[in-house]
Amino acid sequence: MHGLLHSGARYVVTDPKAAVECAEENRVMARIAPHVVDDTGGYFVAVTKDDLEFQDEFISGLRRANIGYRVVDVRDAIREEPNLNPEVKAVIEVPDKVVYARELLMSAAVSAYMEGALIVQNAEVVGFDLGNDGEIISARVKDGVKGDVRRVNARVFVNAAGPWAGRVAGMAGVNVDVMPTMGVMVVYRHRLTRRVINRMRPPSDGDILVPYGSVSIMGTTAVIIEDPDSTTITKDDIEFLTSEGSQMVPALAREPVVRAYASVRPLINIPGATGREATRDFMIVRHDKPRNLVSVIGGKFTTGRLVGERLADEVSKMLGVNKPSRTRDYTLFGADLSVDIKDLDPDVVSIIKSFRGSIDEERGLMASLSLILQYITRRSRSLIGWA
Amino acid sequence: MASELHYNGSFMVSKAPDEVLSFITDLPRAIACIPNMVNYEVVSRDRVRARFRVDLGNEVPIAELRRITADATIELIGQSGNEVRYRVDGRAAGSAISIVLNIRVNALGNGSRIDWDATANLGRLLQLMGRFVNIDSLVRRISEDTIHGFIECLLK
Repeated sequence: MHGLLHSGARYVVTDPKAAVECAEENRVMARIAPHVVDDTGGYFVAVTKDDLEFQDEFISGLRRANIGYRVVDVRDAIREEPNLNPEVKAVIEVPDKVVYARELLMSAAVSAYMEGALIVQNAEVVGFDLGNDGEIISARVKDGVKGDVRRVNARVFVNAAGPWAGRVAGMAGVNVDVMPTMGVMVVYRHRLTRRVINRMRPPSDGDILVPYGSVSIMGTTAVIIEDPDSTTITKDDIEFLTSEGSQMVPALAREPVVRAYASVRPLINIPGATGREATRDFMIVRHDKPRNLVSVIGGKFTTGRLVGERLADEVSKMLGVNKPSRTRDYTLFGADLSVDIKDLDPDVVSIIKSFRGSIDEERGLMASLSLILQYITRRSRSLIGWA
Repeated sequence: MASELHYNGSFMVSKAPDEVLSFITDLPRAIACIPNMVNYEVVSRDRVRARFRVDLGNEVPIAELRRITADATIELIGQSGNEVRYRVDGRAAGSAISIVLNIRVNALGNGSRIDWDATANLGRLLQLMGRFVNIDSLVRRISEDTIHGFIECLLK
């Protein structure tokens, strides 16, 4: 995850359905979470002759997916983005945006809590208790704070464990074949561009540079790994990404590398499963046995809300609830921090309020959300007797 | 899945065998004809380090894995009469790859018939992908695309 809220442009040629979904989610997220989305825009730049040859196909794809674009005169593009390679051969502007990941996740968690969900962090599923009919009665969850194993009962269980989905499904006796792949991102000290800079070519490794706050993030690689808990970033990964990125923005080669990090995507096969394939990009699978287990597989950060919507609708159906998900039109907590949270600790309220009108009001969002999240996780633990 | 994959094929070109052999044994010249080459460095007349993109195709379910970058050393390891032998050692998607390619050039009419066979060893991690896609047809397609692209370039 490098912070890009895809416009969908990247996928218009190779995966048009995912492109359309990204385009729609790009608009939805900007509407429901304006406080964590930076409308930077994005450039697709042709660096080589091969890139340039891809341009017509790329534009046709943008039209088919109904993604707004503008062919930008190269001189204008360089005026707008002075760090762009002066040798670029063509530039197309698209509505890419930047999304601040942690703030978004915390906003979603707080919003869910306000709607009745409980949020418990540092807790790991270690097993399931199955009834005689094969359904799951309870999940055994190890409390990472106290170290003991507790049972959580529910009518429906959702396996949304990403690259660990195979491990969790295995605990319920479901065979899920997982191949984790690691994507490395490199963080450079300075923000070198106003916009997201993408390479104009079919999606590959090392083709996205994202301005993320005051830094630049270059991504990503695609490395097959055996264990999602074991990721090793090599010097070659960093050199490769710097080399690819500097073809679009030469200043990257001179920029100090602050750090590198990795995220893991799952490639998953469920033999014999009846997949409700929303796209090739993600699947929601209602297992035959246990019948009250649903696994969600794949997806992108950009389409995470859509995955959640489809998943919630599936679970509602299993519970006999007829109401559709309403996250599409639900403004997330954080857009207005003055919204009341029931029983919020007065000390927390006081700290949040102290940011208002100060020089750090904007920067205080992360701190405020962290404080609120700490409060609601503590409250959630208390409500289920884990305090 | 077997760890070694074997492929072969043949095609005709409208150039004389001497001309074809002279081209394919001049590695620094021939290297530029490998399709999807990103960059390369000539180490010696018989040895080149290269970075190229490999199109694994849309059957791979993760966009970032559909087109990956491979780093490899390509070496001309033998030539005897009308037969030329190359070895490619490198890495792709975090996994080792090793390919031995034999090319035989014979006269046919006014041109040449080129027979090739390749033995590919994919590292353990790339073999894991065989659970999700048909690795055999994938590598076969890549081999054929690469050799045809190479020869098209040769004919220019």
